[in-house]
Formats: sequence, C-alpha cells, structure tokens
Amino acid sequence: MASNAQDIEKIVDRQYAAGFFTEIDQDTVPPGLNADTIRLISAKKNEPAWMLDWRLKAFARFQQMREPNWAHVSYPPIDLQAISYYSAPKSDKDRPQSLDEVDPKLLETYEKLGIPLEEQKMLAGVAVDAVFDSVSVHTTFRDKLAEADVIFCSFSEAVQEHPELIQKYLGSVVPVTDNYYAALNSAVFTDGSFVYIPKNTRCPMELSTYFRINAMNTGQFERTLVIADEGSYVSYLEGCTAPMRDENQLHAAVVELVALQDAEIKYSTVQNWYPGDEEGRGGIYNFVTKRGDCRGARSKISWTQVETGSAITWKYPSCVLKGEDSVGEFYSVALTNNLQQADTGTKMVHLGRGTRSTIVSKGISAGRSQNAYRGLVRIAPGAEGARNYTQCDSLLLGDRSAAHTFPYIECRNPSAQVEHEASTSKISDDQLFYLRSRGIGQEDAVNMIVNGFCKEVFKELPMEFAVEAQKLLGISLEGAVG
Amino acid sequence: MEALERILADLAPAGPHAGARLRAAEQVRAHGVPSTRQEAWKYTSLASLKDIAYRAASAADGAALDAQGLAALPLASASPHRAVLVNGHFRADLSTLDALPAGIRVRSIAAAAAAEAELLAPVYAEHTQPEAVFTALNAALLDDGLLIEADADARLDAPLHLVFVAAGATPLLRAPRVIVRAGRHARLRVIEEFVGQEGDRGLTNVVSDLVLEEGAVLDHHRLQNEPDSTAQIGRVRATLAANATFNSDSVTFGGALTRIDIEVALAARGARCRLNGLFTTAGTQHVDHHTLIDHQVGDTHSEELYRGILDGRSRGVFNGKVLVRRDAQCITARQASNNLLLSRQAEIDTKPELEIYADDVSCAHGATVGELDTQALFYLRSRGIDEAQARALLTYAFAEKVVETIPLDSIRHAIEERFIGAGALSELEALLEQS
Repeated sequence: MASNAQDIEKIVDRQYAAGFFTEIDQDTVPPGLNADTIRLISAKKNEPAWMLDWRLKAFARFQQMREPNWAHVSYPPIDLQAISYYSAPKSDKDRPQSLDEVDPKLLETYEKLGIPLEEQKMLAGVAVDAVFDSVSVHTTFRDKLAEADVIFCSFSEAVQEHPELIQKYLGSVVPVTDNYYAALNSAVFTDGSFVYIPKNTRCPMELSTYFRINAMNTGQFERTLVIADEGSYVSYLEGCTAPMRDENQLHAAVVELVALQDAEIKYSTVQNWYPGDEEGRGGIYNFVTKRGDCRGARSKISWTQVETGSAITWKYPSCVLKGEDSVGEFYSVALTNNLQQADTGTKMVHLGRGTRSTIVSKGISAGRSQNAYRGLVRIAPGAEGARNYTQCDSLLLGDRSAAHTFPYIECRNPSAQVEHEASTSKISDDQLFYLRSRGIGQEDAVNMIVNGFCKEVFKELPMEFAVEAQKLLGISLEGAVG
Repeated sequence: MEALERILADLAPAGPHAGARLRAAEQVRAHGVPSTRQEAWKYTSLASLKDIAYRAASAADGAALDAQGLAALPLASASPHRAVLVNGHFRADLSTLDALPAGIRVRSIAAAAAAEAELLAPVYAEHTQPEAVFTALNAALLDDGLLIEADADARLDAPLHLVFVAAGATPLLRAPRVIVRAGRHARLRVIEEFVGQEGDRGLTNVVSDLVLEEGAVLDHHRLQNEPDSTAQIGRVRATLAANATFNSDSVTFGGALTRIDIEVALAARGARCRLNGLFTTAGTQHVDHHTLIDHQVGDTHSEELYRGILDGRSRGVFNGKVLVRRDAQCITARQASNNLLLSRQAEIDTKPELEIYADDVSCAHGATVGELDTQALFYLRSRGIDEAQARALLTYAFAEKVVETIPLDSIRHAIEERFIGAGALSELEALLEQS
C-alpha cells in the first residue's frame, strides 16, 4: 500500500510540476478553467498542500453544479473557459516595502480613481489593504494594528502565517458546496483580505480594503474572512471602483464573517463598479456570496451596503443567528440606472433563542433598469422569542424602470414576531414641486429627495463612506432625470 | 402519480370537445406532477397523494346521495337559488333554480356542451404553463360543471349557492368547472361551498372561470369545508373589463391538503378587485393560497387581505403576487398577509410579491407572523374569562378583520360558531359589558 501511495504521489507531483514550470513566467495565465489552472494558482502562491486539496475538492464539487437561474436577471451565457484566473502586478516577487517602491503606474491609476492611498491614510486614519487585481500590493498601518494584536493581512499571507486560523474557519460559513459561484471562488480565488480580532479587543481603527479590477479579461475571485473573537469589535469597509471597460467581467467573491460570543462585526460596502454604458454594453457581473455567522451568544453582525455599480448585481449578505440573543442587521441602498440589473437582499436565519434581525432595503430604479429585493427570514423551531422587522421600499424614476420585491418568510415558532412591509412608488410630485418652487434645479431636487429616501441606510455608514455614497448616488443618477 | 397516468390512458372523450380534451391530457403528461423544486410548489408537496388509487368520478358515483343525505351535510350557507354538484356532476333533482330572475341562467356544462359547443371553446385553450398542470387536467376530464350567465343589467340579489359535494367510497378524482359570464353592468353573487362525507379521500380539482364585462359586479365567496381527509386543488380565474368589480373571499377550514390559485386579470381601465382570505387549520392540514393580481392596464386598483390561523402540526402557505405591467400607470395596490401561530409545531410560509414595470404606481404590502397577544390574554383572564375562552375570543378577533368584509350573514355566523361555539359570542359580549 505504502509504495502504491508513493507512486500516486509521484504522478501527482509530475503533473503539478509540469503545470507549474510551463506557466510560471507569465504574470497572467492563459484563459481556461481546469484542475491544472488551480494547481498553477496554488503553486504561484506557494500554498501548502492542504490549501490545494481544499481548492481541488471545491472544483470537483463545482463541476457537478449548474449555474443558478432563479434570479430576476438576464445575461448572455458566461464562458468560464475564456477567463484568465490569475493576474498579478508586474512587481510580484519583490514586494515594495513602502509607497515609494510601488510601481508609479499603479499609483497613477489610483489617483485617477480619485482615492489616493496617501490621502486615505492621513484623512481617515484608516489602514488600507489595497487589492490591485489579484495580489495585495500595499498594506499600511500594520504596526499600529500589531500593537493591538489585530491581524489584518492579505489572504495569501494569512495562509502562510496563520494556517491554523484559516484551516479552522475557511469555508465554515460559506461551504464550498453552498452555490455555483461560491464553489467556483473556492477553487480559483486568488487573494483577498483576512482579519482576526483577538478576544476583548476593540480594533483601534476602521479597516478598509479597496478592490479594483484593472486587467482585461480577468475575473476577480476575492476571498475575505473576518473573525471577531469573544468580546471584540471591528468595523470593516469595502469599497470598489473600476475603470471603463468594454467587455463583461465576472466577479465572484466570497465574504465570510464569524462573530464569537459578545463580538460585533460591522461590514460596510460601497460598490461602484463599471455598470456598462447607456446601451448596456460592458459592465461587471457581480455574483457575490456574503454571509456572517453569529456563533456566540449576544454577537452581532451588521451589513451595510450601497450598490450603485455593476451591470448585474446578484448578492445577498446574510446572517446565521446561532448564538442566543444574537443580532443581525442589513441596511441596503441599491441604485440601478440605464440597463443595470440588480437582484439583491438578505437572508436572516434565526436559530437561537431571542435572536433579532432588522432589514432596511431601499431600491431606486431609473432608466430601463431592473431592481429586485429578494429576502428570506427563516425562524427555526428553536428560535424562541425571535424578532424580525423588515422594511423595503422602492423608488421608481422613469416609466421604463422596474422594481420587484420577493420576500420569503418561513416561521416555525409561535413566540417569534415577524413583520415585513414594503412599498413601491415614484418620486413624489409634491416634494419635487416644493423644492423647485424654492429655486432648486430639477436634478438637484431629485438628488435631494433620493438622498432623503436613503437616509436611514446612510446613517449606518461610517462618515467618510456616507459622504462618498451620497456623491455616488448623484453621479449614478446623471441623465436619469428628464 | 400512477393513478393519474391510468386515468389519462383510459380517457375516451366524446362530443365536440373530444380533440381538445385529448390535447389537454397530452399537456398534463408533458408537464407532469409538480414537485417542490418548482417555485410555485416550493412549500407544497404532493407526495402524500402519490399512492392514492384515484379514479375519475362519474355521474353514477354520487347517485346514492339524496335530499336527506344532502341535508345531513354541514352546509354553512343557504339561499333560494341552489345548484348542487355531486362529485363534480350536476344534480337537477337536488338543485332549486326555478326562482331565478329573468336574464340569469344556470345550466349544467354537460347540457350546454351539447347545445352550444362554441360557448365552451375558451375553456379548452392551451395550457402551456407547467404551473397550470391541474387546470389542464381539469380540462382533460371536464364533462360537467356549471355555466352561469347573467345578461346585461341583470341583477341577482340573493346569492347563487353552488354546493360541491365530495362523496365517494373509493378515492375519486373530481373535475368540476364553473363558468360565470357577467354581462354589462350585471350584478351577482356566487357562493362556492365545498363539503363532503366523512372519510372521503378523493381529490377535488376544480376550476372557476369568471368573465366580467364592462361595469359588471361579481361577489365570489369560496368556502372550503371538505373533510380533513380530502384533497383539493382549485383555481379561480377572473378577467375584468372596464369598470368591472370583483370581490373574492376564500375561507378554508377543511381539507387535508388544499391548494388554491386565484388569478385576477384587470384588463381594462377602472377595473378593481378585492381579494380576501381566511384559513384556519389544525392537525396535519396543509393550506396553500397563491394569488396573482395582474394590473394589465393603467387606472386599475386592487386590495388584498389574507389571514391565517394555524394550530396543531398544520402548515399554511401564502404567496400573493401583484404584477404591474409596462405602461400600466396610475395603479394602486395594497396587500397584507397576517398570520397567527397557535402551536409550536405549526408553520407558516408567506411571500407577498411585487413585480412592477411602470412608475406611476402606489403599491404596498405587509406581512406579519406572531402569536396571541399575552397582554390581551391577561386582560381577559383578569375579567374572569377562562383561558380557553379568552384564546378563542382573541383568535376570533384576529379573524374578524376578514370576516367583517364578508357580506353574508350565513357565512359570518358559520365562522363565528367555528371559533367560539354557538351562542358563546353573545354570552361573552354580555360578560365584557358587565365588567
């Protein structure tokens, strides 16, 4: 048996070696999805064997799965074989130690996007782990975080330096079998962020990662894992922008949050990827799986998202409320314009006693866009005294826009209280008239009303994000007002 | 379902619609029995019907039921105008339709099919949607039912009471059809009451097609009170012309498994509808209501209120969809689903849906799930009312919001009795006044 096993290992090694050596000198691997691609990614990142095994297992499961079609969106079939699964910036091997060492071309791109790294550092006291395409280029404030024993690093580093944490938590919230895109991500993810907040620690600053998509034809498969140990607190900011682009790009990220006893995670997202042009050409396909696990008693996970970008958004940040008296929150603004399509919402799964959840969703559809809220509130038999409040409102701008609401409520405990309310209407003529009569232009007036409509969600965002979000709404609505 | 395949294989229709019936049977075969993997059947499994050896009901199956047998059934309503269908077949001898005013005609479909075949042509339209497999099945098996016609400006003040009796020693597949054509500005009220003999294990697959012409008003009351051993899969489809009004209520007490689809097409300006529903279940009952309000054009309006009360190990499902089509402007739509869980084993799955493709609309929905208010319960107890009565009273109060919209005393009283017991309500009211 032993010699047999060795033989097999040899064979495996050989294939692996071949895959490795033929491709290693390229910074972007040729398009294609197969087990060799996965071995190549894993090898490029010097991953331990258990990580490669995990990826290959995910890939095996992925091959048995079919693309979901239940969402209220339509798009041409995606050719996964035409995507390149790995793309690293030029200076991959010798990582820059400071900003001066960073390729000035990269910095230039950041500046064009209007969010220079330096400014971010000073302005907000925020540590920025910028993911430029697939590999972390620059991480700041590491020292300050190290003082508090907070781990905030790229996912690749975490695999090398904290394998015990990764092995314990990776895939424990979003299993590889969860859904088609999560399985794909598990097989081919290239990088992402990792956060660990030790017991009874309040993270000294807001953590922020800016994801950018910048290489032609490169799907982005990010993986984020945030663990808040007992009694800790962290606020995590995720913001996205992408430059102009003609071809549709697939983005299938996975975000996993784990909150242990008395821990709290606040996860805020501003998503402003390229939405395609006025005729719906181009734009990002944003098929994301985000889920938080409130494992411990009195833990809390709060999702806040402002979604203005992407051609298609397919995203349901969810909370599994296992711990007694744990709390889940979801605050969302989703704006679609032109031919954008969004199918977004949340799932609140109440398992523990006294669990509570709040859902506030604001959808704005303009142009010829489709905007759907899809949510699930499930009360398990053991969720004694659980409580849910859901409010989802839709605002319609333009007679070719569409707004949909699909809330699922499944209740199996009589002591639970579940409330859901939703409304859909167009922007009020009275409010518009009032603002116009005060000398405010049509466009500003609409912006003002839309911002008012979203206020409940914006107040949940960290201050800098709230400002950015308001500006984004204005920009995204340009041309939508007749 | 094996039994279903056998029934379809044995199908040998005659008459002018034979071809259409065979085509409908073909569609049933093509779609197959729905599974919980289909969105429209996500929460309702038909597995419990799988092994029942159904056979198609014939007129002979209910022949033994006489006037006495009918009187013994727990009918909730009464009216001078009554049409009785036993196992889906019209029984002239049990019906009283002599006093109908001029301009209102009620005939059996079997009679009408022979005389005026073209009247029934729309019934056999294509059933291409897989969700509509049971409507296709009804069309395939359709050999009787009722054709109700109201001429323009005709008016029927007393309700027309349709009694559907499930009476079978062996499990029967009953497929009655009701067709109502309300002419311009006609006004009528129809009660569809479903009852059955204890222990009946059949499946009632009923379809009601309601057509309302301009300005017509139709009140449609549905009362499902079949024994807890019977299954029912029903569909109500209403099409409304300009300024027509459709008021529907669907009250479900009985049945082991009940699935009702109510679809309203608001097809012309000024059309409006109100859909109300109440279901109370216990034991292992399963009740599923799917409603669709289709605002096809502008200036159409809808209101909907469904309340469920679930006890025992029962399960309730509500899926209410409001669809506003492109360019259908100036719409109002209100929808609410409220549910009361009385037991730890009961389950409710509710999904109010909005699908909106026009912008000048005002649509809202709400859904709630909860238990009886403990403070209200405490208040009643402190006034000397025992727990069981207090719970019954509060449960009835929850149902009252739907009950009060039903304009028929007979049905209201039947519901009151069910909750609180005969006479107990006035007793309790007196008690509350004293204290």
